[in-house]
Amino acid sequence: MAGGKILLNPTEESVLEQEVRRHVLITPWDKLIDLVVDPVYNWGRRNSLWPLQFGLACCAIEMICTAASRYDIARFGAELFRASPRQADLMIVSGTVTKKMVPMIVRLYDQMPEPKYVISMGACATAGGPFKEGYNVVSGIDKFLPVDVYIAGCPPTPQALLHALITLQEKISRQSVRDVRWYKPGPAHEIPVPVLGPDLIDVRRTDEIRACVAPVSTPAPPAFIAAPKLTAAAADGASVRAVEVASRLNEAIGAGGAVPSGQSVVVDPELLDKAGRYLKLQPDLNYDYLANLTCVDYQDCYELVYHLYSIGRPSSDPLCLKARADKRNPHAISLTGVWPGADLQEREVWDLYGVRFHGHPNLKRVLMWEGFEGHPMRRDYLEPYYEAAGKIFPSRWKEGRHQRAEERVPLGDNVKYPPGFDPSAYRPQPELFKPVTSKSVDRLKTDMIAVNLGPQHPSTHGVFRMRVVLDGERIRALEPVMGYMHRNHEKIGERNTYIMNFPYTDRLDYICSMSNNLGYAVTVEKMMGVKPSERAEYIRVIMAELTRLVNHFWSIGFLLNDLGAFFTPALYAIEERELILDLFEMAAGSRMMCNYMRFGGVAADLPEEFLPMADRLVRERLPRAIETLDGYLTRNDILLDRCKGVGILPKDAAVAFSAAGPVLRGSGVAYDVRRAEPYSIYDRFKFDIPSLPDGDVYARYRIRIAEMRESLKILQQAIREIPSAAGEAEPAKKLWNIRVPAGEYYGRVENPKGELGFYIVSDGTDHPYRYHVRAPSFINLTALELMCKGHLVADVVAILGSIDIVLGETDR
Amino acid sequence: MGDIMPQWFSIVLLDILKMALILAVVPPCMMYTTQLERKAIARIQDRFGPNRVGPYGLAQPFADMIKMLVKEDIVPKGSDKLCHLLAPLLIVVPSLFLFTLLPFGPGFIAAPISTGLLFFMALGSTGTLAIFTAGWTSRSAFPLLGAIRNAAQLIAYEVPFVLASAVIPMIVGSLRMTDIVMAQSVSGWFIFTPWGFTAFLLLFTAGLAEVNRTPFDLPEAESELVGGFHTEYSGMKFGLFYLAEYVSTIALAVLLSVLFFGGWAGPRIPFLPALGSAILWISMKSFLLVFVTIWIRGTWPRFRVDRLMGFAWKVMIPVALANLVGAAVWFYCPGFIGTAVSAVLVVSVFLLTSQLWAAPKPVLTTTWADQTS
Amino acid sequence: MKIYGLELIRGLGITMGRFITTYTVGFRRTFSNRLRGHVRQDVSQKGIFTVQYPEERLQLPERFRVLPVLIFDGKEGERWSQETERCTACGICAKVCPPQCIWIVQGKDASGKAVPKASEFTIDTDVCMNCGLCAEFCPFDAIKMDHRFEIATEERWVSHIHDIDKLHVSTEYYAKTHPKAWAKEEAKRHAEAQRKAAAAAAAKNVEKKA
Repeated sequence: MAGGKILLNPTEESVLEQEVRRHVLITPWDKLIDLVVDPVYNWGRRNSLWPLQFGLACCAIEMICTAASRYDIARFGAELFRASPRQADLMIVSGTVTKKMVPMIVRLYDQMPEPKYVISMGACATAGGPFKEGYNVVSGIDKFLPVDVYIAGCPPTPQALLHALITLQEKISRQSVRDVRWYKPGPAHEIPVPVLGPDLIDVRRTDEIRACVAPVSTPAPPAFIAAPKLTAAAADGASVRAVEVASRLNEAIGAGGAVPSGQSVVVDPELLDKAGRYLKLQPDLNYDYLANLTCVDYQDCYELVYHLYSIGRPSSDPLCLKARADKRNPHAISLTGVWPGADLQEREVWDLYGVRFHGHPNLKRVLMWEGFEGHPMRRDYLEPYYEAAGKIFPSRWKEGRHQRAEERVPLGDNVKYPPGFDPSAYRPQPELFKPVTSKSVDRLKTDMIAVNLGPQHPSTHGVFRMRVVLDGERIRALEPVMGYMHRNHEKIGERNTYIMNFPYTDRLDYICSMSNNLGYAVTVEKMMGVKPSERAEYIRVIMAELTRLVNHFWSIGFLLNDLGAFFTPALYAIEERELILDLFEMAAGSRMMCNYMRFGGVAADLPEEFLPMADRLVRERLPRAIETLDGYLTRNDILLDRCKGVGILPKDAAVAFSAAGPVLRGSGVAYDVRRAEPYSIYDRFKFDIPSLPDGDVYARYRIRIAEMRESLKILQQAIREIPSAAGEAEPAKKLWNIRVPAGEYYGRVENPKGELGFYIVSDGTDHPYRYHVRAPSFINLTALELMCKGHLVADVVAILGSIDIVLGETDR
Repeated sequence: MGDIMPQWFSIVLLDILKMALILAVVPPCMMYTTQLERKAIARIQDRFGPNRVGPYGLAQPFADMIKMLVKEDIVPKGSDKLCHLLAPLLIVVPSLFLFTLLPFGPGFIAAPISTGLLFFMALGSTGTLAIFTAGWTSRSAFPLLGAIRNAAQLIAYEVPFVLASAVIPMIVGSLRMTDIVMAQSVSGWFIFTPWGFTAFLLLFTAGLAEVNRTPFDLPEAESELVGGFHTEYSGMKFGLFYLAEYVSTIALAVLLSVLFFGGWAGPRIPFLPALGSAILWISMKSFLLVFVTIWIRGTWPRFRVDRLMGFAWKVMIPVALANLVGAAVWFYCPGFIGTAVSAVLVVSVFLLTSQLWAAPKPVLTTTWADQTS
Repeated sequence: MKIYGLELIRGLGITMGRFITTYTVGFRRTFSNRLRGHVRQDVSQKGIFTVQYPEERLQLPERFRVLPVLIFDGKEGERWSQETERCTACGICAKVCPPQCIWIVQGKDASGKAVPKASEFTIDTDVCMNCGLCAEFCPFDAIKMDHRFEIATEERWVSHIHDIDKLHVSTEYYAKTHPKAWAKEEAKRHAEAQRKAAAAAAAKNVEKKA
């Protein structure tokens, strides 16, 4: 023992203290405390832990499942999730802690009365998890809050969370009134709220930040490739369609304005508006649906990419429109006048790439906060923890000695500031919102108040914030604020190899992981020219349709929960979902983060118990469950009262705002990617596409029920027809390091929430050059204000529930 | 007794004993009602509910109580400390007070005043003041919204509450609680009469609105307003709000048993004294009614604010008025004719008004015009 | 004409039905909390749906994955050694890991030459995303996904970094938790060994003849 000092870990230390107290320092007062006060004090506290209704990301879903009927946290007395922090004791930080969200979390923690506890659930909350390297991710909540119990896992299963609760209870049992921190004399230690500046500023460390010097050497940034050349030779390799459209555009908007290139047409950014109008309004072209809008950072330009479809003429080919913005002064004309669905997507391009859109009504950052320094998706933007241009990092093998990312950077944290930055002199910018003109109907000059719903709110389905301007209880304006779960999926995706992206796609729409896997697999397989075997295709369809059921059960259950039905319909739906998750666990190894598809097949063939159980579920139990839910809810008077006629999205608005999924079909547009552009083997199955013309919350609810029945039809057919050749489901060769031929592709699938698209540009190496996710939840929110205007606050919650968003996908 | 101590002293002593009995019995009842609620709702949802703390979870309410007592008390910065403290007290005292007016057995009533029913109604509406105080002193948007909603809701539902209960003194001829129970032991329980059944439904619904239970729990609508009027309350002050809600529910249940289910009347239970049997009967009836409120809580979603007010004004008041007329008809023409006429009257008024209320409201068509040209 | 309120009563009927079913189906569970150890819920499950952790646990399927572990040939309770460890420090797991949470130091012998053994192997479980790609692509069946999920701790700086000692588990443990995979791998190993033996015998024959 060096220096005669015995080092104990904290648990041993407290045990020793207890023993000393019990047998050495005995006074009557101590005895009273030890024998009566402490046991009662601890017993009361540990058996009545009321968690805060607060969930960040995927782990929050498992937390909700822990409160559901299968695991039932209520047995421990902990099912009263209080929405107000003043009445809660336990904060379960479940999900990635992003820099944008952390000031809210600290504020919530400060508002909780003592005695309070924190459980850090999952790898992300503990230390940043798989998203640790991102520019918007905090490396663990214990950088700000004192944590009592940590759980590793991604996500920890509900049983693991219950084990953590028991561990916390045991920790509480070891405490004593004498030495708990809230009875120590002195002022209450409130944790100072961090400030969002050029990067997150921890106000306790202002001196360190001021004194910090940037590191001398930074690793080399990733390499650029040049944008595909637009010479006459390239035009010869262009597709027939592109050439035809380009020539028509040249007639309409001026010669030289449009050049065909590959499958797409490249337009002068100054003429984008005119080109867009022409493409939309020409009756034989009629490109009325803007599916995807994004940007690619090439060496010589920022290339804006627009994927257009025609819903009015479903037989016509899709069109890819491109425009190249200059690198030094990137700007383009906004297309919100032509396709209003471009609104949020253009803001995203401005936020992440710095391309300015002239004519955009509200061009501000959407995922990061105003005041953040830099445009992070630019290829030369290096995050604080940046190690190398692409994984595999050389520091991991041959001489891989463990080093936490915090230890590599001078500030010991995932932050970087502009040189010479003085945090104490920084004043955060006030938040700017669109001005709202008050059109008061009566002569009374009433004030309008602006209220924030979220980001911690029981009904916003995650960390989503809406700034609502109210006139009494009526809504005059609504602005969604996102980015609280922005986990830098695309930036990390560019650094990953192709196969590494599979588990990351699980975490996009974390309720539908199999469908996300499928979308990614379909896109890359198209680029690689690989086709999976028959059995693998059937397995994929079965998994995708089971995922659709899982998602719709969850969505309907929580819509009812938002309407106040105290969890009962949600729990009935979650019961059925749990049985389907059992199937996923059996095949893929995890309930939620399945990581099951591979290029050319699936990761492992189905275990033998899978198909019999799936068959019984799909034939016996699930049809009955859907009938029960339908019978219980569809004609319920209160539901009808609150949902009929609420949140109407007219048909032409749905198309113009790029809505997708049940939102689009609920407005009378029977468009489904499985029919419009069939992928996998969907063209073999007989199923209908339900659509209703009303466009309100009730229509979307009924469509989800109808879609569940259609999914059951597909599942029954698939389970009957699946070829039994075992062992063929896995890809022919197990390759972990694949190269995808150079090129680009936009692949899309019909996710339960809408059209999920992957736009991948490959430079021929083993990392994608550009990896963009077209997220249905994000784009469906463009129409939120339109749907909510004029309604009451209570309706907003129902409307949001009917759109069915998930923040992992919205913010990526 | 009179020769040992002066009379006023024995009266005061007796009153103190009565209050002590109420304070000793009602809060544990409330605690076990919360436990019953958690277990019953759990069973509706196919799960167990609290069952680890003590045998079958019976010690759970005590753990909750201890936890709430040791929580830190936080008062928002700008709020008036006195009013912040006053609000929970203002809500708890009247709700406990209600129990002095309710008869639990023959001669077993704490305050046998001649206007028992009226005083009960009056006390029941003082809760609004407390809730509004709570919302106002919290100095924050959500509690204020919750308090305003509650005030509107209570004003709307007070009228049907009183109108519906007005049939009882009309038929019985007295406002005294004991008289009402005795009248039922003569003419049968009022629930079995058409006007009694209607009055019960009306009073039950209005009573649920008075105590802020689902489907009328807007003031604390969790999924919309975070916590409603008690968002800024922590520790034992929140505990008092919690206590008041359940105590009021129990009082409402006992009132309904007294008014419609014959109070403490029932066949004599063997091995118990007459008083014990009476107390057991009224307790069972109240327990069943409390169970029904819990059952409703676990099943139905919540009404929207304006629909709620509309229901009170447009449906319940006309039905209550029709009920009064029907009860008079029943009283003067007993037998089949009176029963039929009053039943038909009430049902037709209900059907008519509910059609008008549930009529599709003018749909807020979202006008959007494509600006592309 | 719509009679307002009938559907609400129907809703009440459904919930009362569920309430009563929780008492009538498997009613013994109401009175006995301490039941069977491992539970598997069937599709026809009715009544109480709860699996009362920690006394009852859900039976985990074989492919269930939590954190990775290294395999060494031996029995439970034994300690791993360089002779029994299967890992050859090829580094594929570190290369395929999406969040790059595996650090490997290749072993060196006395003269400084690299040997196919890992001298240090660290996994940062606060970065691991439990995806299983390391186990899927390991050519030597040396790293597998474990089932232990009760890993909540009160501190994370020491206990969440798994070093080579903490990571190793015996093949006996692996065979117990993953019987089907173990049987398949053993069969493959056996077939491979036989093929090698046959090839060696054939080579010897050729040598003899020559």
